[in-house]
This record gives sequence, structure tokens and C-alpha cells, in this order.
Amino acid sequence: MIKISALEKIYRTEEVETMALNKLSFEVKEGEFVAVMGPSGCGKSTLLNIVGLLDDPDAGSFIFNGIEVAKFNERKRADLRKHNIGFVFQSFNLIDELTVFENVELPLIYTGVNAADRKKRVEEVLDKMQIMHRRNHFPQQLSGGQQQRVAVARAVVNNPKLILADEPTGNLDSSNGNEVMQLLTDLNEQGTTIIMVTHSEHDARYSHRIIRMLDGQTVTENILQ
Amino acid sequence: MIKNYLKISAKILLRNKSYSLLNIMGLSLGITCALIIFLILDLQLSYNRDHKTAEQTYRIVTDSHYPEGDIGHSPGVPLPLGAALRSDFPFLEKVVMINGLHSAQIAVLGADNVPIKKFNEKNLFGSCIGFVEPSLFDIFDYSWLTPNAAASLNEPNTAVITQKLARKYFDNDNPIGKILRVNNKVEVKVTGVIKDLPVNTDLLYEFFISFKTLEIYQPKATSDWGSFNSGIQCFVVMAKNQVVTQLTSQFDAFNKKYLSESEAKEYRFQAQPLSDVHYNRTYGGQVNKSYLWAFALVGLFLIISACVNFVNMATAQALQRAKEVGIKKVIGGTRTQLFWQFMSETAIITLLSVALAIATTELLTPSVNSLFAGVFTISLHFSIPVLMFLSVLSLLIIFLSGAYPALILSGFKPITALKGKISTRQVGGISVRRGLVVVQFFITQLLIICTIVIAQQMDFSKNMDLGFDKEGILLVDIPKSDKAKKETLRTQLTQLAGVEKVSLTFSPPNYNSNITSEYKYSNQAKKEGNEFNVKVGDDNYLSTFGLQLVAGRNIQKSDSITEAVVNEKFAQEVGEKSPNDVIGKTLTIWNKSVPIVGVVKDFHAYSTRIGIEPVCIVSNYDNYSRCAVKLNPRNLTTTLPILENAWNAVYPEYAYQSEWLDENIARFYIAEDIILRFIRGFAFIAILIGCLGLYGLVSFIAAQKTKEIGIRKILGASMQSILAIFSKEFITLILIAFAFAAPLSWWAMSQWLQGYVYRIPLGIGVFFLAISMTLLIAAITIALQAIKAAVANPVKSLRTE
Repeated sequence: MIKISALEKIYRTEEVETMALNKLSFEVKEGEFVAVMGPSGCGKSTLLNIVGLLDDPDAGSFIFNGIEVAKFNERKRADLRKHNIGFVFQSFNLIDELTVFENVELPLIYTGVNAADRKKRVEEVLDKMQIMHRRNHFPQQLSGGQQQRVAVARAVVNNPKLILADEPTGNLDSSNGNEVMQLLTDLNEQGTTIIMVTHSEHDARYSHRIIRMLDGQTVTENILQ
Repeated sequence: MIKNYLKISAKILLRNKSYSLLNIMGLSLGITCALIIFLILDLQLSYNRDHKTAEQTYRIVTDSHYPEGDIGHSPGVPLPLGAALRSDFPFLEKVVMINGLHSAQIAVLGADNVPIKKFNEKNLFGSCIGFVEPSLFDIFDYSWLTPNAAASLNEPNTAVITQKLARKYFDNDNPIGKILRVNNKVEVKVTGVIKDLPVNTDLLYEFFISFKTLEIYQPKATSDWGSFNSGIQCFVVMAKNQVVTQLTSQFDAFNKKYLSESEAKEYRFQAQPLSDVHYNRTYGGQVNKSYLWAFALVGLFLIISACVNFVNMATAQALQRAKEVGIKKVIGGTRTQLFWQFMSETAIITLLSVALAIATTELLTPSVNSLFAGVFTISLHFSIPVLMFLSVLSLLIIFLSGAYPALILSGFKPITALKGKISTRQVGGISVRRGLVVVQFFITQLLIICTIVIAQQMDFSKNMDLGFDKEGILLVDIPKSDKAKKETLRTQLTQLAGVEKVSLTFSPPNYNSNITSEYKYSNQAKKEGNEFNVKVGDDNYLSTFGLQLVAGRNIQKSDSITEAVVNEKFAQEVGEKSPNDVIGKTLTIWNKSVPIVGVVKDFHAYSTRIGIEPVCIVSNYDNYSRCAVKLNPRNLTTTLPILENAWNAVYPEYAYQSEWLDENIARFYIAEDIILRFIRGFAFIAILIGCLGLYGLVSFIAAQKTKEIGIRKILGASMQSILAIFSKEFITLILIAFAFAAPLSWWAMSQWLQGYVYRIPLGIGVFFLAISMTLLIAAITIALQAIKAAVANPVKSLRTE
């Protein structure tokens, strides 16, 4: 599904150049659950942003579903993104002004789904995430775990092929964290590919494979059962 | 999709109530002003247009060419002009003569022709009663309540009146066939009724008497070529395929045919398009079009200022909305989708502001109309032009104020936005907002300076020493009846308690009715076209109006012109070195040669826009048409009714009518007064809008500088030094705005003041006052936010990072 070769990303300020990704290569197959680990500043998030088509690399190749997307412009990236990729963030990133229902509905609005279908699909996914009873609440009225379940619901409502999770349990206590990890595992079992950036060895153990990074390169890969 | 945009936008606006409210208030203030200005322009620009042949209609006016090169302008023509035009220019489709009366006594006659009601009809802004030819109703479209009645005006002693007058005279009785007596001279039968006049007409006639009645009312008047009176007007309609020069090119020969040699040299007829009548002040038009465009410009300024506010606040908000933009982009929102999302927010705010502005306009209309002092009235209506204006204005505001913030916001990179790393540079930078604030304060200061100058000039004009007393003088109309009655009235009024002086006169020293005449001085050859203002008054004239003699003596009591008093300007005009030099010299006026017995100090016979003119004061009973009564200001409430009773006892068959001299004089400045009231209001609103914007901007800067202020405080900065950070910024912006506003307003106001012979100097004080006011208002606006930022706990401030 994803094939990355010799990927480079350099951040430049007026005086300093930082190599965030240094000729990085790796592959993710469809249906895999991959955890990316490494110390702060090793390039995990940069990698996730590029894989998530939120950012473009400076050099190298990125093949997504058989298409070279490294040189895609913003409009093309956005189009590919909204049909194929769902995101889960550490800080949930829900829109405070919108209710649970409306937050989950938003990706469907952007992909042009009609109102009746939207309602059906949002209700289905909220039900699946066991948050249906909170559909009319605003994010700030929910606990952290509930908020992250809403975020997961929003990530999957478009049936994406790939979910990118950036430290999804980072802001949660262990019991809420485990619940979210279980949700991701269930989604993976239903066929969704997942790439998760994490600092937590515990969370990483939910994945099939752990990629460890240092200074913008992969250093080791562990295959788990 | 649009429904969703609107739904989400509405929710977001509801969650940010204070932001939305500030925006709606600012915008609706601007829109209200623009709407009111549009209603004024819509009305003013529609004057005299609602007639089928309006495009082909012209008013014949007269230019008087004086020997020294001056040109006088009058909308009046001699009465026989209409018949002559008809016979000499058969190609004219229609010609109508109107002989308007400035005021008239109307008596409603009952059985045995006994008056049962009396009215004094007078319109301060034009003739309301006229002798008209029936063709008037072919040229101007009136709505008839009694069909086919126009033809009745072919007969003498017939009249058509408006519905309003019909109700006034006859209550709910059928007016047709009823008899009215006009000025106790002629009786007319009401033969037709028309609907009340629209607001947008300069023809204020409500009482149309058949032209044939004029021959009874004023025999021989219709053949008098020598009398030019602004009440006598002539309109012609050209055929569609003709150009007006076909007519005007033949006026020279036409004048020579009908006027005397000297008159033909002096008087030249012109054809003024009907569409020009309302706007050409030279011929007595009501409003100068340049004033209307100035109003439109002010409206545009206010809308720009309101939009600037919106852009300022929206971009200031952008940083707080970065996360939202990031999320929306990450979950699939494209830049276009986000752009329209933000535009729909602007659309909601704009439409709410428009709705609020409509309601405010409706509420304000009565107060606004009171500012027009009865000259005209506007009303909020939803005609096609108004709806078009509102739609275009809404779209313009949505795009002017929405597009820039929407472009900025939708252009955020999702990662940077999500991480909250959007910099001020990415939201258009503080420099853009600074530029916008400069624009706002430029507009505000321009209006403030203009307001101060206009107010000072008005104050100066109104309080200028006119050279005579105008306070406490009541002008009571008197019929031009026999001399004995006038004398009786004078004697009786003089004896009343509370009455200090009484003078019979044609007009006070400064009035809107004037007699001008040619003269011959001493042995000097008569200079054709050399005119002066003739004040006809009795021997009490000087003392009643407090005119001061500088040489010679007052005129003695006399029934006709036997001697004359002149002013100093006259002495100069005839080339005498000292006022004493004219005493005893002969003055020939109205074919009579009389000695000059006195010279009075110069006084203003016209508006102070014009300089001092030569004047002579003579007695002549036939001309007296009002009685000037100087009253003791104490016990006016008891004096006035007694005075009215005394008048009614002398003239039982007439209706009493009076006015205060100072109020009449104040009407010279009515246009300027209206403009002043409006510009004052607009300046205030511009300041208010500016302050709202400033408040928004200061909040933004305060949020931006939270960390900086925290660090400075930890390092020991005082509150004053923190406040200085804000003050320095805004003082600079206001000074930059002032640097642009001052020269432009100086230029504009210098031009405007050119219209006044006696004008205030445009000194540095005005500009100093304007900049001080602006700085003070701005300081108050920013103080609240700045103090809040300065006293904040630095630990908390730093934690926000």
C-alpha cells in the first residue's frame, strides 16, 4: 500500500537547516498495523505528515496505492487524503464549536455525501464507538477518552483505507488508553491499515511491526505476533 | 453544501457572540448611514422626473447682463412671454405660463357670499398658488380625482385644488362647485381636485386658478413685458426630434421684437432643462448636485470604514481559528471549501447587519426628517432601486470584507495551523492592519475637520453683525389695501403694551423678497443696469431696525417717495469720498427725483455669502406689505394674542400671518444647516466605527504581546512603560492618517469657504482641535484593553505560551 524510498525532508530557518528525514525507506502492506517509535525530534511526526499527505518531501519517492504522490500539489493531495486517510491525534483536535455529531459529519460534507446518507453513516459509526448517547454534546462536555472515541469515529466515518494515529493515547489515562487501542485493533482486524506513532511500548505491542527511528532514519524493525 | 456552510457558520458565530456582535454593530452602523444617504439621493435625484415629457421640457429663465459685466439670474419671465412664444415658435409642442403668488388670503364663502373660514396660504419654499394655463396639466402629470377637469381652466373664475386643500377648506363636503375668494379680489369656483403632490416636485402649487382669472385679478398684467418676477414662470415642451438650440438660437431676434432696446440688451432668455431645475441654485434650485455627490462620498467612506473594521477583526481572529482550519483541512476540507465556509460567515454577518440597518433606518427616519427642517422628507420603502442598492451593497460588503480574511484563513498549511504555529506574518501581518487603521482614521479625521470648519463658519455667519437689529422683531403680513387701514394698524399697534416700535415696510433690511431698481445719481449720466436694493419703509424704519445714521437725517413721514436715505456703500459706488458728500444730492428712482437726506451705516441686505450691496430707503404706501413690530421680549405670551386681535380688528376679512425676522434670516442658511447636522452625525458614526475597529485591533495586539509584556514585567517594567508600548503604536498611526487627512480637508474646506464673502480663517487651530479630539477618543478606546494587558499577572501571561 505504501512504499517509501530515500525520502528526505529538510526544515530551514534563516540560519539553521534541520534534516528531519534522511533518505528514509520503508514499506507498509495493506491490512498491516505498524507502530513507529523513537525519541523526540527523530522525525516520526514528519514521516506521519508526509504519509498523511499533509506535507510534501524534498526528495525521494512515495508510492501510495501504486501511484507516485511525492510531487502532488496541495489540491491533489487533499483529494487523495479525504477519500483514503483518517487521522487520530494525541490532542483529539475536535472543533469546539460543533457537536459530536457535527464533528463526525464534517468529512462526509467535504466529500459531498448527501444529508440522508450522512446521518445514517454518522449514527452507525457513533454507535460502533459507543458514543451515540453523546451525539448532541460539545467536545468540552466529554471526558478525554470520549473525545478520542469521537476523533476515531471521525477518522473512520469515510471508510478510509489507512488510519494514521499520532500518539493516540498520549493524553489519556491507562484504562481510556486501552479502550482506544482496542478500537484501533478492531478496525485493523476489519481490514483498515494503521500506522501509529507512539512513545509507549505498551501501545506498540498492539501492532504487527515496530519501526524504530533515530535522526530521520529507520534503525530497526521488530515483527510482533 | 451551502446549507451546511450556513449552518456551521451560524454555529461558529453564535459561539463567538462578542466578536459577532462587535462586527454586526460596526457594519450595521455603516449600512444604516449608507441606506439613509441612498434614500436621500434616490429622492433628490428623482425630482421632476415623473412626467411623460420631462426629457423634452424646459423652463425659460432670464439672465440679466449688467454693464460692469455681472450677470444676474432669475427663474422669472414677463407674463406675455407665453403667448409670444406660442405665436413665434409654432414648433413648440406645449407652452405654459404660471403666475405664482408667494402667499394668498383664501376665504371660503358660505351662503350669500359671506366668508365662513379664512386661511393664509404660504409655502416657505415656493409659490403654492398660481394662475395657470390649462396646458400645465398636459406637460406635468397630475393624478386627477375628478376626470376631465383640466378643460374647466379655460374659463375665468375657475380653480383646481389638491385633495389636501379640499379637506382643509370643506372638510368632507364635495368641493366641486364651491366658491373661494382669493386675496379679497376675485372669486373662483372649484371645478376639479387632484391628488396630493408627490414629495419629489419643485412645482409646489396646490391651488391652480385659471389664467383667464388673472386678467380680472390684475388687469393688463398679461401684456406687461417690463415686469420680471421669480413667481412668473414659463415652461415649454420641445418635440422629440428637436434640439433646444432651435429655440434658443432665435432668442436674440425674439428679444429685440418684444423688449425695449435697453431691456433687450440687458435681459437674455435661456432654456433650462426641467431636469436641471432642482439642482441649479443660480435659478433658485433647492440643492447643489455636488452636495449630493459629497454625501454619496461620505456614505462610501463609512462603508469602507466599516469593512476595514471587519477585515481587521476577522484577521485578528484568524490566529485563534488556526486550529479549526488545520483540522478541517486534515479531514479533507479543500481550500475552496474553506474559503466559501468563511465567506458564508461574512455573508451571515452582513445580512444580519443589513436587517439591523433596515430596522434602525425605519426607527431613525422621523429624526432624520426633522434634520431636513421641512424642506423634504424621506421614507424607507422597498422600491426596485432600494432593493437593488441593498443587494449590491450586501454583495460588495461580503466580498470587500470577507474575501481577504477568507483567503488568508483558508490558505493556512494544515500542519502549521494544527500546531498553532501560524505567525502574524501569515495572517497578513500587523502592517496590513496598521494600513487599514490609517485608512479609517484618515476618513474619521477628514470628517472631523470638515465638521469643525462648517460649524465654525455657520456660527460665524449666523452671529455676524448684520448692521441692524433682528431680535424680537415680528413681521406681520398686511394686505395691500388702502392707506387708511395701514395707518390705523400702525397707530393701534404702537399703542399696545409690549410694543416698542412699529414700521410699515415692504421688506426688512435683510429679507428674501427684494426690490432692485436702476437709479441715476445727481448729475452723473445714468448708467444702464446700475442697480441698487430699494427698501421701502416709513419714517420708523431706521429706528425699528436700529439702523445707524452716519450723516444727515432720517426721512420724514410721507405717503410717497419724497426723499431718500442711502447706505455708505452707495456713497462709495457713486464715487463720493465721504458719506456727507451725498447729502443734498438728487437721486432719480422710479421716474422721480428726490434729495438724499441721510446715510446709514452699511448693513447686510442679503445672505453673508454675498458682500454689502448699495441700498436706498424710501417711503411709499403702495408698497407696504408687512408691518415690522419690535416687541419687548418680556410678556410675549400676552402681547402676541393682543397684537393678533388688534390686527383682526383692522382686517376682519383677512387671515392673520406673522413670522419672526431672525427665523426668516436663519432660513438663508438652511442648506448649510442641513449639511452641518448630517456631517456632524456622520463624523460621530465614523468615530464610533473607528473606535470599534480600534478596540478589536488593540485586543489583537494585547493577545499577541502577552508573552512580551510578561517578560518585560518580570524584568521590572512599570505599568506606564507597558502602556507606552500601545500608545506609541497608535499615536504613530493616527499621526500618519492626520498627515493625509489634513492637507486634503484643508483643500476641500478652502474651496467650500470660497463661497462666502465673509469667512473664517482656516487656521491651525482647527487641525489642532481635530487631532487632539482623535487622540483623546483613541486613547479612551485603547486604555481599557491596554490596562488589562499591563496589569495581568506575568506568570499567567507566560504560561499561555
